[in-house]
Amino acid sequence: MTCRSQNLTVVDPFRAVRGQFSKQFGMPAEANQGSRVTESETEVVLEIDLPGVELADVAITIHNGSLSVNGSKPPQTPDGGRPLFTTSKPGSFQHTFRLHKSLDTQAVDAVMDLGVLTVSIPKRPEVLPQSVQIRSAATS
Amino acid sequence: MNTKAQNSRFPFFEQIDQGINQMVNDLFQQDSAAHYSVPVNGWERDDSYVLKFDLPGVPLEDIDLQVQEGLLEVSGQRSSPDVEGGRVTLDERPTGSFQRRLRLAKGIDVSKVDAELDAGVLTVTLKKLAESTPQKVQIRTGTQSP
Repeated sequence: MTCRSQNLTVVDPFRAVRGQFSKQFGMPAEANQGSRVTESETEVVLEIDLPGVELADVAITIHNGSLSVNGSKPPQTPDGGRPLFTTSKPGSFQHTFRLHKSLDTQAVDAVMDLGVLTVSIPKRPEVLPQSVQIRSAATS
Repeated sequence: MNTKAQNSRFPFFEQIDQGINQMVNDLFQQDSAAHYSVPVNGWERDDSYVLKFDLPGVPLEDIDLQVQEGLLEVSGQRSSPDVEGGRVTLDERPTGSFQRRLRLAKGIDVSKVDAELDAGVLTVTLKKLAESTPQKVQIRTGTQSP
């Protein structure tokens, strides 16, 4: 699935390779598994599933018009636990998104709740729709 | 679905077999639109088993955990709230109803199950029955009386 927002595009240099693997072997084609992007008139909201990731283990950086979410999921091994099976692997992750110029990168807000990181990026005031007052010809 | 090999003399092949099992199961789980599969990790301790299910974005009240003799089931619903006045431009999150069933080993005390939800991870601790936990035996020297 591609992101249909013009204001935020997914940066994924391995998309073509993954697409081929997807076709040949039925493997997942997308890098940003577990993310959702929504866009309203005033902002773009990015939600990323990060279960088991502590606030201290995730960093958001904005550089050259790209927003990156980097971090690592620590191993969750309980004291004295011997692994039996693993379907959710620990390790590092990265999600990168290219931001359109119309987004205000100075006013980004991020919150972590229930293992989901929500990043809100407002649109610049000058790109928001404005209503213009119409005066009658009689008034100066 | 179970493709488990009958011969367990070669643990390496058994691991591959388990991997194929998982892939086949995941594939079929994806095909059935009814449920999405929940990733889970499991550990064994001397006195208990610990299971951790990834359930990001699911509040406590939407998770149902049932444990009975030989079977544990985690199920529930992950809702995807609409954005007011907005539109979804990318959605790669699993939503809808989820379910994960695990067969339990014998010797688990189903009356002592602890479950905790933190940072989108549900941790379930299953205590082993006293007779199933390893007992430390004191060794005496020949001169000591039993």
